[in-house]
Amino acid sequence: MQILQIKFLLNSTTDPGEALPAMLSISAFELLYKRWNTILCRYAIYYLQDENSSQSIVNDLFLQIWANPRSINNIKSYLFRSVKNACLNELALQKRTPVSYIETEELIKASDLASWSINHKESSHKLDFLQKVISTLPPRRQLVFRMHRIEGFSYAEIAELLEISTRTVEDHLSKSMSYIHTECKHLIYEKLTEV
Amino acid sequence: MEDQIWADMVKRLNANETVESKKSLDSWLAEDLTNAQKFEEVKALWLLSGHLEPEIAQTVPQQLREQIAPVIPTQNPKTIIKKLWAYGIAASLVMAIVIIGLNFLPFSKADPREQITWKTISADAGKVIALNLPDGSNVWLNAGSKLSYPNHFNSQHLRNVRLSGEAYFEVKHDKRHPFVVESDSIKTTVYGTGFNVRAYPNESDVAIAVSSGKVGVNTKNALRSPDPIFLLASDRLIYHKTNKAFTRSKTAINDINGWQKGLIVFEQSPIKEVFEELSRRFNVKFSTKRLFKGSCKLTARFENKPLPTILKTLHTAMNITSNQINGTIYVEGGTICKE
Repeated sequence: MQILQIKFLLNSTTDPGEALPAMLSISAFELLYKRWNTILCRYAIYYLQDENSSQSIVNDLFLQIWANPRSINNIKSYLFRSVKNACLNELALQKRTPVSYIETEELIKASDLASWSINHKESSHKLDFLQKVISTLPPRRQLVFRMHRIEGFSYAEIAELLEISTRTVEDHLSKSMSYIHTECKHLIYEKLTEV
Repeated sequence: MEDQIWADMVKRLNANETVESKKSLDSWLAEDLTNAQKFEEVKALWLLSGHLEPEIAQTVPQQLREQIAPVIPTQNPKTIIKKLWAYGIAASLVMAIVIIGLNFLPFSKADPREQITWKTISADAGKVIALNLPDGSNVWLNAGSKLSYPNHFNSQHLRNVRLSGEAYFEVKHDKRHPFVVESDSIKTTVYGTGFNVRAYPNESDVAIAVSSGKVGVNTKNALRSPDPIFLLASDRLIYHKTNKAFTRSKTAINDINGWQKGLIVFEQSPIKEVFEELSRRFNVKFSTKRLFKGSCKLTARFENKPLPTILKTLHTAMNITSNQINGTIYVEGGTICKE
């Protein structure tokens, strides 16, 4: 049972329709948390703009899953939808305190990246470098890229979860590839057989 | 390079090209050999990105872990019944044993293997958290507050919890096991009632107000234990940390836990404490460096008002201007009071 649970938790990207069994052991719960926490927090921050409340909401969701065992079809979808609902509720509550935060959405930390690549080009694995580059994408764009390319959501699913148009999703992806191309094209010409 | 071309490339890589995007991309590719090379580069990177792993968290946070840690179950009535039936004991005798057993269960002699672990719950700035304690008591934690409590009260005579900040308690009645809230310098002992304790580390006073029942208040670390000060419904006791003196007053019962519904009350509050309270309630950062020293104290009541309204009131009443730059609100001014 344990081995099956571990397998599906890690392979959720390839099998988005995987179901969660009703009773979770602690180690299975921990795996579930570790697998999904980071991307769910990125998603919650998209709505809440605040790391603390985002982490709270995600933790609450996991606690709820632990406390109310029942089988869930398609964990990925369930997790993202639950976070979305919790975020929208939170925003509705916050409407009474309209102190706004200036968005630093479009800043790309290009300078950090430059120094990193000079120091680490030789020892870095291509995928690690690519991960690092992706981490410097602006938050919203990065979220779209991760949700599509890594988590396997379709344009339509992303559009629904982020409440944007599919056109905007495409736009984020094109801009991501443009940036990635600029920063990573040198990787292609190193050892053509390595992946 | 044009945005359009990037969009076309991604469409092709994703296998959802349209007639227009195909035409546009093909003509661009035909323009120049370097374009074709560029596309190959982008394709290679796109394929590479397909191998990316999702980000895995390193650990499960302590707070979460504590909440899912298994509680060793005390023997439950059903298993007692099953075992007795196995020995063929008459039904009435079983019922008698079960009834007696149920009466003792909540505070049964602790299983020596059953360890007490302490949990701490915090309410972040801007949040009010409601929680249940192991004995069924309810607690509401105000913004910027922390409560520590054991995972069970079974093996102790007292039900002990530790508070930093403000909380409203609805304590399950149990005469034999007094509920004790330890905060900063004060211990509040309760037998089954509704009461509010306000003990923020940054404030000079600790305040306890009772909405129902009876509460006894004592200072901690008293060398000889003086008689506790008893409070009944609508009584309010303030302990001044600076001169270690108590002040007693009356309060409206509805106000006692009004903070749960957005009530903010200031009574002769030093202006710095006012901004610390606003900071916690609304989860905003204030810079108070330029407030005049010797500013008057504030007495005001805000029922569920948004922050801009409160700031406007402070401007009108106390000449305090506020300016938000990036994530911080800079406040300055204030009317000087002659003490």
